[in-house]
Amino acid sequence: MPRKSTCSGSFLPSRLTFIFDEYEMMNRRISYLIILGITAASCTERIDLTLDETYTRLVVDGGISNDTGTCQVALTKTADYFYNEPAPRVVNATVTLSDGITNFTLHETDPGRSGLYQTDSNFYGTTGQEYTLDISLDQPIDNQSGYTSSCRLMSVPRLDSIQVTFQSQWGPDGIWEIKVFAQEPGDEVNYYMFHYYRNDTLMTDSIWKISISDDKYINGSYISGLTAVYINDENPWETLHPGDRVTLKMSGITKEYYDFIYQVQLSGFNIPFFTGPPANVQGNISNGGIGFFTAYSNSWGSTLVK
Amino acid sequence: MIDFKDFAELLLNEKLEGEIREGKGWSYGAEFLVRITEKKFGGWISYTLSKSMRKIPEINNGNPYPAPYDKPHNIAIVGNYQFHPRWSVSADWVYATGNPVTFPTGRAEIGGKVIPIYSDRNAYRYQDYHRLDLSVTFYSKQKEGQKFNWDINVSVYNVYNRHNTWSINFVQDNENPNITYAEKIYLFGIVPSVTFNFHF
Repeated sequence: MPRKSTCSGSFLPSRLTFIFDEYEMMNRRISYLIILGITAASCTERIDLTLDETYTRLVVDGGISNDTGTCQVALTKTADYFYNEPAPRVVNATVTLSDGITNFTLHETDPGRSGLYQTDSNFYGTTGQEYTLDISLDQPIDNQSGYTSSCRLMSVPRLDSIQVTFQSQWGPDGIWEIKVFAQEPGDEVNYYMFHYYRNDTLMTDSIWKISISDDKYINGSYISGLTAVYINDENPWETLHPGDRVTLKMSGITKEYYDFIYQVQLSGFNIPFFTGPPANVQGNISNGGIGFFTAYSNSWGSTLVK
Repeated sequence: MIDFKDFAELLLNEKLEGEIREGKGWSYGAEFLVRITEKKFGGWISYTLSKSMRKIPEINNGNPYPAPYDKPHNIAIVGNYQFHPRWSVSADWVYATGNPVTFPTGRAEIGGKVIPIYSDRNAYRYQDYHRLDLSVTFYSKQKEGQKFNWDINVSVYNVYNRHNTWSINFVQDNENPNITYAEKIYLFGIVPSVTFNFHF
């Protein structure tokens, strides 16, 4: 079966190389070597691979924040790598959330079908509190039916304001920047996650679009216009227009969740010399579960694009 | 023996030693070589059988795994034939077992992204590497007292245009995010070249 290859690189019609060979130098002779050739740097092509199956694991994806709303947890299962269908849902589980004193039950939105578990819509978390999620499965996965996960709800500085600027000279079509103005607390190492909305539509709707940052260069200082989000004007689905309302949600997250997002965003890519050997993403679910149950606090800012 | 820990950060990392874990490594093997040096014909056939393993407590749950450069079979066939005083041809063919690599054996969906669930460290291998190169050389006439000579060489690298693997990435399709596929990167297909050598 013919395969389509995509190649990139430079095509050199001719190349002149001087070789100073040690032996030749001794004989006071220099070789002039002319190489006429075509060099293509690299090509990619889709290939068929046969991969083994591994045992099935529970996948947890959920979290709570200090904003009033529902706390939602999605339960799915792992599948073969070339499964090519939405992840199989885990239904009829018993999911409870505890802050150490009170237990809250998360009910499946469409019992027996959706695999989505929610609290009532008046739920909110408290900064500094440790939250524990308990999952009890109706049917065990890999002989495990009980899973737990804990996460502390981290604080976040108040956003004084945000600013949207356009750098026309960056990249082929320019880059939009969303900048943050806030006082960074200096007493601890903080990790941040940034979501943004364009006219009330969540633009960072997938984990690979989220921006994350630690406070390595800003710890304890006043953040005066640090870029939190870069938006490529090349992509029509995410570009901004004058008059658009941009809303930024800055969230304080744990180091574990920061590492998790970083690993998820990097996963799948392997470039020799630039990336190390691939490894499984480290989450915070017990008993071999995959994924993360997170807790974070939010701080909001909004501006109009000029 | 050292190797990179899981999720090693290599790019722009000033504290690279923190990404490394220590353990044991061992190799063994056998080599076999036949060489011919006749007046008009020269060449050799070599075969290497080897095994290189590592065992590092914090990697692969402490279980032994093949070293990244482990190539059990390695063959080289090289020949050079001077069929005319001013003409020679040469050919070489190399073969090596594909390098060990870690591939996904499952996947999980998190926040709209499909993430791979990996096999044990280096549990798979790339396709075997092999390649044939051919070349023809034409030499200038040697005259008594002449201060220079030259030769022209026409060669073809990777004659049968094998797409030898450099790396394999696992990609989520942009249009249908449920679909994941493997994508191979290879560096050189067939490369013809002409070389002119001038000695003085």
